[in-house]
Amino acid sequence: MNTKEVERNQLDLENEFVTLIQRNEGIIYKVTGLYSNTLEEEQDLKQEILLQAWKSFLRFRKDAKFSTWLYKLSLNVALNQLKKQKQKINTDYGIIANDQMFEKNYDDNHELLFYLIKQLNEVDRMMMTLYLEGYGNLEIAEITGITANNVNVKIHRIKQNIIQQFKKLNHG
Amino acid sequence: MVDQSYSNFDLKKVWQEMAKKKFLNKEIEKQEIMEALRSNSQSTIVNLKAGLRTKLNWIIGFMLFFGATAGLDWLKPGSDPEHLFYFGFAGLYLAGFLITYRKYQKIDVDPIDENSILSKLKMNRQAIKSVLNIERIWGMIAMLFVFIYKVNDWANKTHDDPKHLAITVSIFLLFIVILGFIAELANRRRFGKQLKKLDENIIRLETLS
Repeated sequence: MNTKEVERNQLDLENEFVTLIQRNEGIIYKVTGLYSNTLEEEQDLKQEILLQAWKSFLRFRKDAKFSTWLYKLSLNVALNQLKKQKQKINTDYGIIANDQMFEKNYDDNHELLFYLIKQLNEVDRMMMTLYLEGYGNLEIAEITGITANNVNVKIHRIKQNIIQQFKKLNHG
Repeated sequence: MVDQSYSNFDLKKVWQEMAKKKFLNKEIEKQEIMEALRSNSQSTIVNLKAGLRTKLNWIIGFMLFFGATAGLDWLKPGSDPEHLFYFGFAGLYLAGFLITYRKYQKIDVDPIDENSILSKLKMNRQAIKSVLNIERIWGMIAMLFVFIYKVNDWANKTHDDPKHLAITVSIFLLFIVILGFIAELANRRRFGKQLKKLDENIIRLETLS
Protein backbone atom coordinates (compact mmCIF):
# COMPACT_ATOMS: atom_id res chain seq x y z
CA MET A 1 0.00 0.00 0.00
CA ASN A 2 1.45 3.37 -0.96
CA THR A 3 1.72 6.50 1.16
CA LYS A 4 -1.41 8.07 -0.32
CA GLU A 5 -3.51 5.03 0.51
CA VAL A 6 -2.12 4.93 4.04
CA GLU A 7 -2.96 8.58 4.45
CA ARG A 8 -6.48 7.94 3.12
CA ASN A 9 -6.93 5.15 5.67
CA GLN A 10 -5.64 7.49 8.30
CA LEU A 11 -8.30 10.01 7.29
CA ASP A 12 -11.04 7.35 7.46
CA LEU A 13 -9.95 6.45 10.95
CA GLU A 14 -9.85 10.09 11.94
CA ASN A 15 -13.35 10.62 10.58
CA GLU A 16 -14.66 7.64 12.53
CA PHE A 17 -13.00 8.95 15.64
CA VAL A 18 -14.36 12.47 15.14
CA THR A 19 -17.90 11.14 14.65
CA LEU A 20 -17.75 9.04 17.81
CA ILE A 21 -16.28 11.90 19.81
CA GLN A 22 -18.93 14.33 18.59
CA ARG A 23 -21.65 11.85 19.51
CA ASN A 24 -20.24 11.53 23.00
CA GLU A 25 -18.90 15.03 23.53
CA GLY A 26 -21.11 15.51 26.61
CA ILE A 27 -18.87 13.07 28.48
CA ILE A 28 -15.81 15.19 27.80
CA TYR A 29 -17.57 18.39 28.83
CA LYS A 30 -18.83 16.86 32.05
CA VAL A 31 -15.40 15.54 33.02
CA THR A 32 -13.56 18.73 32.05
CA GLY A 33 -16.15 20.82 33.89
CA LEU A 34 -15.87 18.70 37.02
CA TYR A 35 -12.10 18.46 37.10
CA SER A 36 -11.07 21.99 36.16
CA ASN A 37 -11.23 25.27 37.98
CA THR A 38 -10.57 27.70 35.19
CA LEU A 39 -11.48 27.94 31.51
CA GLU A 40 -7.85 27.50 30.60
CA GLU A 41 -7.58 24.29 32.65
CA GLU A 42 -10.79 23.08 31.06
CA GLN A 43 -9.42 23.70 27.59
CA ASP A 44 -6.12 21.98 28.39
CA LEU A 45 -7.88 18.98 29.86
CA LYS A 46 -10.17 18.71 26.85
CA GLN A 47 -7.16 18.78 24.56
CA GLU A 48 -5.38 16.12 26.59
CA ILE A 49 -8.46 13.87 26.65
CA LEU A 50 -8.85 14.14 22.89
CA LEU A 51 -5.19 13.38 22.39
CA GLN A 52 -5.13 10.38 24.70
CA ALA A 53 -8.39 9.11 23.23
CA TRP A 54 -6.89 9.30 19.77
CA LYS A 55 -3.70 7.58 20.85
CA SER A 56 -5.68 4.73 22.40
CA PHE A 57 -8.34 4.58 19.72
CA LEU A 58 -6.73 1.70 17.83
CA ARG A 59 -6.79 -0.38 20.99
CA PHE A 60 -10.47 0.34 21.52
CA ARG A 61 -12.41 -2.88 21.08
CA LYS A 62 -15.31 -2.36 18.73
CA ASP A 63 -17.51 -4.68 20.78
CA ALA A 64 -17.14 -2.40 23.81
CA LYS A 65 -19.32 0.61 24.37
CA PHE A 66 -17.55 3.74 23.17
CA SER A 67 -19.16 5.94 25.83
CA THR A 68 -17.94 3.69 28.67
CA TRP A 69 -14.48 3.54 27.17
CA LEU A 70 -14.41 7.31 26.76
CA TYR A 71 -15.65 7.88 30.31
CA LYS A 72 -12.96 5.63 31.72
CA LEU A 73 -10.27 7.28 29.66
CA SER A 74 -11.45 10.84 30.34
CA LEU A 75 -11.59 10.28 34.08
CA ASN A 76 -8.15 8.71 34.12
CA VAL A 77 -6.70 11.58 32.13
CA ALA A 78 -8.36 14.06 34.48
CA LEU A 79 -6.95 12.29 37.54
CA ASN A 80 -3.48 12.14 36.03
CA GLN A 81 -3.69 15.79 35.13
CA LEU A 82 -4.59 16.60 38.70
CA LYS A 83 -1.67 14.56 39.99
CA LYS A 84 0.63 16.45 37.66
CA GLN A 85 -0.66 19.77 38.88
CA LYS A 86 -0.05 18.48 42.41
CA GLN A 87 -3.36 19.84 43.45
CA LYS A 88 -4.29 19.24 47.00
CA ILE A 89 -6.45 16.16 47.20
CA ASN A 90 -9.34 16.56 49.47
CA THR A 91 -9.44 13.33 51.41
CA ASP A 92 -12.47 14.40 53.35
CA TYR A 93 -15.20 11.90 52.73
CA GLY A 94 -18.11 14.23 52.70
CA ILE A 95 -18.93 17.74 51.70
CA ILE A 96 -18.91 20.67 54.01
CA ALA A 97 -21.28 23.47 53.25
CA ASN A 98 -19.03 26.44 53.75
CA ASP A 99 -19.54 30.17 53.72
CA GLN A 100 -18.43 30.40 50.11
CA MET A 101 -21.26 28.11 49.08
CA PHE A 102 -23.82 30.21 50.93
CA GLU A 103 -22.49 33.31 49.28
CA LYS A 104 -23.01 31.84 45.84
CA ASN A 105 -26.38 32.38 44.32
CA TYR A 106 -27.64 29.11 42.93
CA ASP A 107 -30.73 29.78 40.93
CA ASP A 108 -31.63 26.11 40.62
CA ASN A 109 -30.81 22.58 41.71
CA HIS A 110 -28.79 21.90 38.58
CA GLU A 111 -25.99 24.35 39.28
CA LEU A 112 -25.98 23.41 42.94
CA LEU A 113 -25.65 19.70 42.19
CA PHE A 114 -22.79 20.35 39.80
CA TYR A 115 -21.08 22.45 42.44
CA LEU A 116 -21.56 19.87 45.17
CA ILE A 117 -20.19 17.06 43.00
CA LYS A 118 -17.20 19.22 42.21
CA GLN A 119 -16.48 19.57 45.93
CA LEU A 120 -16.01 15.81 46.34
CA ASN A 121 -12.56 14.31 46.39
CA GLU A 122 -11.34 13.06 43.00
CA VAL A 123 -12.29 9.42 43.38
CA ASP A 124 -15.70 10.11 44.92
CA ARG A 125 -16.33 12.63 42.17
CA MET A 126 -15.52 9.96 39.63
CA MET A 127 -17.83 7.39 41.24
CA MET A 128 -20.68 9.83 41.66
CA THR A 129 -20.43 11.07 38.08
CA LEU A 130 -20.63 7.52 36.79
CA TYR A 131 -23.55 6.75 39.07
CA LEU A 132 -25.42 9.84 37.92
CA GLU A 133 -24.71 8.86 34.33
CA GLY A 134 -26.56 5.63 34.97
CA TYR A 135 -23.67 3.18 35.30
CA GLY A 136 -24.20 0.18 37.55
CA ASN A 137 -22.07 -0.66 40.56
CA LEU A 138 -20.16 -3.36 38.69
CA GLU A 139 -19.25 -1.02 35.85
CA ILE A 140 -18.24 1.71 38.28
CA ALA A 141 -16.15 -0.82 40.18
CA GLU A 142 -14.45 -1.86 36.97
CA ILE A 143 -13.70 1.71 35.95
CA THR A 144 -12.54 2.98 39.33
CA GLY A 145 -10.84 -0.19 40.56
CA ILE A 146 -12.88 -0.17 43.79
CA THR A 147 -14.89 -3.23 44.80
CA ALA A 148 -18.58 -3.20 43.88
CA ASN A 149 -19.60 -3.44 47.54
CA ASN A 150 -17.46 -0.49 48.42
CA VAL A 151 -18.90 1.45 45.50
CA ASN A 152 -22.38 0.73 46.74
CA VAL A 153 -21.62 1.89 50.27
CA LYS A 154 -19.72 4.96 49.18
CA ILE A 155 -22.33 6.09 46.67
CA HIS A 156 -25.09 5.68 49.22
CA ARG A 157 -23.19 7.83 51.71
CA ILE A 158 -22.31 10.48 49.15
CA LYS A 159 -25.94 10.65 47.99
CA GLN A 160 -27.13 11.13 51.55
CA ASN A 161 -24.53 13.76 52.07
CA ILE A 162 -25.50 15.66 48.94
CA ILE A 163 -29.17 15.62 49.83
CA GLN A 164 -28.24 16.85 53.32
CA GLN A 165 -26.36 19.71 51.73
CA PHE A 166 -29.32 20.56 49.55
CA LYS A 167 -31.47 20.75 52.67
CA LYS A 168 -28.88 22.67 54.61
CA LEU A 169 -28.35 25.23 51.90
CA ASN A 170 -32.03 25.64 51.40
CA HIS A 171 -33.03 26.00 55.04
CA GLY A 172 -29.94 27.81 56.18
CA MET B 1 -33.35 29.31 45.40
CA VAL B 2 -33.21 25.55 45.62
CA ASP B 3 -36.25 23.36 45.71
CA GLN B 4 -38.09 22.93 48.99
CA SER B 5 -39.09 19.30 48.68
CA TYR B 6 -36.59 16.47 49.18
CA SER B 7 -38.85 13.47 49.33
CA ASN B 8 -37.97 11.16 46.44
CA PHE B 9 -35.23 13.53 45.45
CA ASP B 10 -33.91 12.13 42.19
CA LEU B 11 -30.29 13.14 41.80
CA LYS B 12 -29.96 11.34 38.48
CA LYS B 13 -32.82 13.33 37.02
CA VAL B 14 -31.36 16.61 38.28
CA TRP B 15 -28.00 15.60 36.82
CA GLN B 16 -29.43 14.78 33.41
CA GLU B 17 -31.32 18.07 33.32
CA MET B 18 -28.17 19.87 34.38
CA ALA B 19 -26.15 18.21 31.61
CA LYS B 20 -28.72 19.14 28.98
CA LYS B 21 -28.87 22.71 30.14
CA LYS B 22 -25.20 23.26 30.85
CA PHE B 23 -23.73 21.64 27.77
CA LEU B 24 -26.48 22.15 25.22
CA ASN B 25 -24.72 24.91 23.36
CA LYS B 26 -21.27 23.39 23.56
CA GLU B 27 -19.93 21.55 20.58
CA ILE B 28 -16.57 20.04 19.80
CA GLU B 29 -15.69 21.09 16.30
CA LYS B 30 -13.95 18.66 13.98
CA GLN B 31 -11.14 21.16 13.58
CA GLU B 32 -10.57 21.19 17.32
CA ILE B 33 -10.25 17.41 17.42
CA MET B 34 -7.90 17.29 14.47
CA GLU B 35 -5.67 19.92 16.02
CA ALA B 36 -5.40 17.88 19.19
CA LEU B 37 -4.39 14.82 17.17
CA ARG B 38 -1.73 16.57 15.20
CA SER B 39 -0.38 18.46 18.17
CA ASN B 40 0.95 15.14 19.47
CA SER B 41 3.31 14.51 16.57
CA GLN B 42 4.02 18.18 16.35
CA SER B 43 5.10 18.53 19.97
CA THR B 44 7.34 15.46 19.66
CA ILE B 45 9.16 17.00 16.72
CA VAL B 46 9.41 20.36 18.47
CA ASN B 47 10.93 18.63 21.54
CA LEU B 48 13.40 16.71 19.41
CA LYS B 49 14.44 19.83 17.59
CA ALA B 50 14.93 21.63 20.90
CA GLY B 51 17.19 18.75 22.01
CA LEU B 52 19.30 19.14 18.89
CA ARG B 53 19.51 22.88 19.49
CA THR B 54 21.02 22.15 22.93
CA LYS B 55 23.48 19.78 21.27
CA LEU B 56 24.47 22.52 18.82
CA ASN B 57 25.03 24.94 21.68
CA TRP B 58 27.39 22.46 23.33
CA ILE B 59 29.29 22.03 20.09
CA ILE B 60 29.68 25.80 19.78
CA GLY B 61 30.86 25.93 23.40
CA PHE B 62 33.53 23.26 22.86
CA MET B 63 34.58 24.83 19.58
CA LEU B 64 35.14 28.18 21.30
CA PHE B 65 36.92 26.53 24.22
CA PHE B 66 39.40 24.62 22.04
CA GLY B 67 39.80 27.57 19.70
CA ALA B 68 40.63 29.92 22.60
CA THR B 69 42.98 27.36 24.20
CA ALA B 70 44.78 26.91 20.89
CA GLY B 71 45.07 30.68 20.41
CA LEU B 72 46.46 31.24 23.90
CA ASP B 73 48.90 28.35 23.53
CA TRP B 74 50.04 29.66 20.18
CA LEU B 75 50.68 33.15 21.55
CA LYS B 76 52.65 31.77 24.54
CA PRO B 77 56.39 32.35 23.89
CA GLY B 78 58.45 29.18 23.53
CA SER B 79 55.48 26.86 23.57
CA ASP B 80 55.49 23.39 22.01
CA PRO B 81 53.26 22.71 19.02
CA GLU B 82 50.40 21.58 21.29
CA HIS B 83 48.24 24.36 19.90
CA LEU B 84 48.05 22.46 16.63
CA PHE B 85 46.23 19.72 18.45
CA TYR B 86 43.77 22.22 19.93
CA PHE B 87 43.29 23.91 16.58
CA GLY B 88 42.62 20.52 15.07
CA PHE B 89 40.07 19.77 17.74
CA ALA B 90 38.36 23.15 17.28
CA GLY B 91 38.29 22.40 13.55
CA LEU B 92 36.67 19.05 14.21
CA TYR B 93 33.99 20.73 16.31
CA LEU B 94 33.46 23.29 13.54
CA ALA B 95 32.95 20.47 11.02
CA GLY B 96 30.61 18.72 13.46
CA PHE B 97 28.66 21.92 13.92
CA LEU B 98 28.25 22.58 10.20
CA ILE B 99 27.05 19.05 9.45
CA THR B 100 24.67 18.98 12.43
CA TYR B 101 23.34 22.44 11.66
CA ARG B 102 22.46 21.48 8.10
CA LYS B 103 20.43 18.51 9.36
CA TYR B 104 18.92 20.59 12.13
CA GLN B 105 17.62 23.08 9.61
CA LYS B 106 15.92 20.30 7.68
CA ILE B 107 13.67 19.39 10.60
CA ASP B 108 10.33 20.93 9.86
CA VAL B 109 8.27 22.09 12.83
CA ASP B 110 5.60 23.84 10.79
CA PRO B 111 2.08 22.61 11.50
CA ILE B 112 1.44 19.27 9.85
CA ASP B 113 -1.50 19.31 7.49
CA GLU B 114 -3.70 16.29 7.13
CA ASN B 115 -2.46 15.38 3.67
CA SER B 116 1.18 14.91 4.53
CA ILE B 117 1.31 13.49 8.04
CA LEU B 118 3.14 10.25 7.30
CA SER B 119 5.70 11.58 4.86
CA LYS B 120 6.51 14.54 7.06
CA LEU B 121 6.90 12.40 10.16
CA LYS B 122 9.23 10.04 8.30
CA MET B 123 11.30 12.89 6.94
CA ASN B 124 11.75 14.42 10.38
CA ARG B 125 12.57 11.06 11.97
CA GLN B 126 15.19 10.49 9.30
CA ALA B 127 16.76 13.91 9.89
CA ILE B 128 16.94 13.43 13.66
CA LYS B 129 18.34 9.91 13.45
CA SER B 130 20.94 10.94 10.95
CA VAL B 131 22.12 13.74 13.27
CA LEU B 132 22.61 11.17 16.02
CA ASN B 133 24.47 8.84 13.63
CA ILE B 134 26.69 11.67 12.41
CA GLU B 135 27.47 12.44 16.02
CA ARG B 136 28.59 8.84 16.61
CA ILE B 137 30.85 8.87 13.56
CA TRP B 138 32.17 12.28 14.48
CA GLY B 139 32.92 11.04 18.00
CA MET B 140 34.97 8.16 16.55
CA ILE B 141 36.97 10.52 14.33
CA ALA B 142 37.60 12.89 17.23
CA MET B 143 38.79 10.06 19.42
CA LEU B 144 41.03 8.73 16.67
CA PHE B 145 42.49 12.20 16.35
CA VAL B 146 43.26 12.35 20.07
CA PHE B 147 44.68 8.82 19.88
CA ILE B 148 47.11 9.71 17.09
CA TYR B 149 48.15 12.81 18.95
CA LYS B 150 48.83 10.85 22.14
CA VAL B 151 50.87 8.18 20.36
CA ASN B 152 52.83 10.87 18.59
CA ASP B 153 53.36 12.62 21.88
CA TRP B 154 54.68 9.39 23.39
CA ALA B 155 57.01 8.82 20.42
CA ASN B 156 58.50 12.25 20.98
CA LYS B 157 58.80 12.15 24.73
CA THR B 158 58.91 8.65 26.19
CA HIS B 159 60.01 6.39 23.34
CA ASP B 160 62.33 4.53 25.64
CA ASP B 161 59.45 3.10 27.65
CA PRO B 162 57.04 0.93 25.61
CA LYS B 163 55.27 -0.10 28.82
CA HIS B 164 54.21 3.48 29.30
CA LEU B 165 52.68 3.52 25.85
CA ALA B 166 50.77 0.30 26.55
CA ILE B 167 49.34 1.77 29.74
CA THR B 168 48.46 5.07 28.05
CA VAL B 169 46.73 3.30 25.16
CA SER B 170 44.81 0.99 27.50
CA ILE B 171 43.61 3.85 29.65
CA PHE B 172 42.72 5.80 26.55
CA LEU B 173 40.73 2.94 25.05
CA LEU B 174 38.86 2.50 28.32
CA PHE B 175 38.22 6.23 28.34
CA ILE B 176 36.78 6.02 24.80
CA VAL B 177 34.46 3.15 25.77
CA ILE B 178 33.22 5.01 28.85
CA LEU B 179 32.73 8.25 26.93
CA GLY B 180 30.88 6.44 24.16
CA PHE B 181 28.64 4.77 26.70
CA ILE B 182 27.88 8.05 28.48
CA ALA B 183 27.12 9.81 25.17
CA GLU B 184 24.80 6.98 24.09
CA LEU B 185 23.06 7.03 27.46
CA ALA B 186 22.62 10.81 27.32
CA ASN B 187 21.21 10.61 23.80
CA ARG B 188 18.82 7.86 24.76
CA ARG B 189 17.66 9.84 27.73
CA ARG B 190 17.19 13.04 25.79
CA PHE B 191 15.93 11.64 22.48
CA GLY B 192 15.02 7.99 23.06
CA LYS B 193 11.52 8.47 24.40
CA GLN B 194 10.63 11.11 21.84
CA LEU B 195 12.00 9.06 18.96
CA LYS B 196 10.07 6.05 20.20
CA LYS B 197 6.91 8.16 20.24
CA LEU B 198 7.62 9.26 16.70
CA ASP B 199 8.31 5.66 15.65
CA GLU B 200 5.05 4.55 17.23
CA ASN B 201 3.08 7.21 15.37
CA ILE B 202 4.66 6.17 12.09
CA ILE B 203 4.15 2.44 12.70
CA ARG B 204 0.55 3.08 13.70
CA LEU B 205 -0.13 4.90 10.47
CA GLU B 206 1.63 2.22 8.46
CA THR B 207 -0.12 -0.69 10.13
CA LEU B 208 -3.42 0.76 9.04
CA SER B 209 -2.58 -0.39 5.57
